Amino acid sequence: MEQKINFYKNMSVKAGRFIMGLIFITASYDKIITPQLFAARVSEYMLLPDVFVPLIAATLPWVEFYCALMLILNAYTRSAALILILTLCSFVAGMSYDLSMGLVHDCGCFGFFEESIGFATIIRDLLFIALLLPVFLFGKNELNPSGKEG
Amino acid sequence: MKGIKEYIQIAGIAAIILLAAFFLGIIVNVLNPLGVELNPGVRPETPLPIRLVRVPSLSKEGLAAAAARAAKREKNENPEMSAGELAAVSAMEKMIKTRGSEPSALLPWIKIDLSRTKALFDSGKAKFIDARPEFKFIEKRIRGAISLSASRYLIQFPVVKEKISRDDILVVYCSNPECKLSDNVANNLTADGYKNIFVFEAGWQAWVDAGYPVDGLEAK
Repeated sequence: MEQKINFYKNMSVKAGRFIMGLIFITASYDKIITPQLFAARVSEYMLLPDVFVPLIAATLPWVEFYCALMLILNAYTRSAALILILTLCSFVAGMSYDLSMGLVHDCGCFGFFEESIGFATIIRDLLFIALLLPVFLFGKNELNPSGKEG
Repeated sequence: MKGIKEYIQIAGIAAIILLAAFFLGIIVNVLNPLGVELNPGVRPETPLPIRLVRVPSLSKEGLAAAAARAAKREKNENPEMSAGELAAVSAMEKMIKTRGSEPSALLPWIKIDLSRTKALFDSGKAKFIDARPEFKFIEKRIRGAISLSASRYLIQFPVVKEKISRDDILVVYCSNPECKLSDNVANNLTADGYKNIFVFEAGWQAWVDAGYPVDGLEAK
């Protein structure tokens, strides 16, 4: 029984690492190339004072990219998953707030893929959080080049 | 105790990852020709409240005022009106005649089609206002347009008002006929005292499909 549970834990960690790693590398690519556009998208959320928008636009895509790379390389996966979960929580909170204010704008989630914020994007982010939770709870937090799960 | 230590370690490494990403992001941004200006200058420190549709369509009183203006013009009692005002009032009268007298059908600005928009563009007398989100404006826009997005109207307006005067002919546009952001911006401009407002109903998509002039980051 315990063996079975461990198998499912390992599988969920592995799936979470690879799926979310690839998704976040894809999501960060366009934002890294054109921070100007990403800054304009962040402004649309109207959640941050304008002085912080450029800083977030320049650094957040790199946070996503770093964490995604660490998930795929199985290095400090729990820390990387923690950062991504917190980032996704802030996206969900931001989108929920804007929708409650009747403010519909581009999600800015994937630079190349135009989509407006809505319940679908919130549900998708919650699904991403669900995929990252096993990584955070059962993953390894060390440099693990062998790729073996915890 | 071991559990707490473990979580402190996870948080510590997370902080290191964040710091590394932060510095790398700043450095790459400085080197990137499409990088964002990190010091945006003096701007409002807190987001201003959102102002969505502020001005409803013309009331019965508004309709009466428009009719009175039309009567005055016919008698030439208002010769000081600018060409733009005359054009706007004339179109308003036409709309009143064609769309009936139901107040809800009337708006404080005029919807125009692609050919009339192009004519205004070619005349050089109109200023184009892009009501779409700023990032779309940065990517591509009608040549010479000014960004005044619906969702950030209050933040952008203090800068935009330096570029437009209340007598200017303004053509507000959005993505397509279904997009109501241009209506929203037109309403807000009306409330801020601008008189000669046209909404290009077919919007950006029709302009691009027609192959008319555009500029922006991704314009060829």
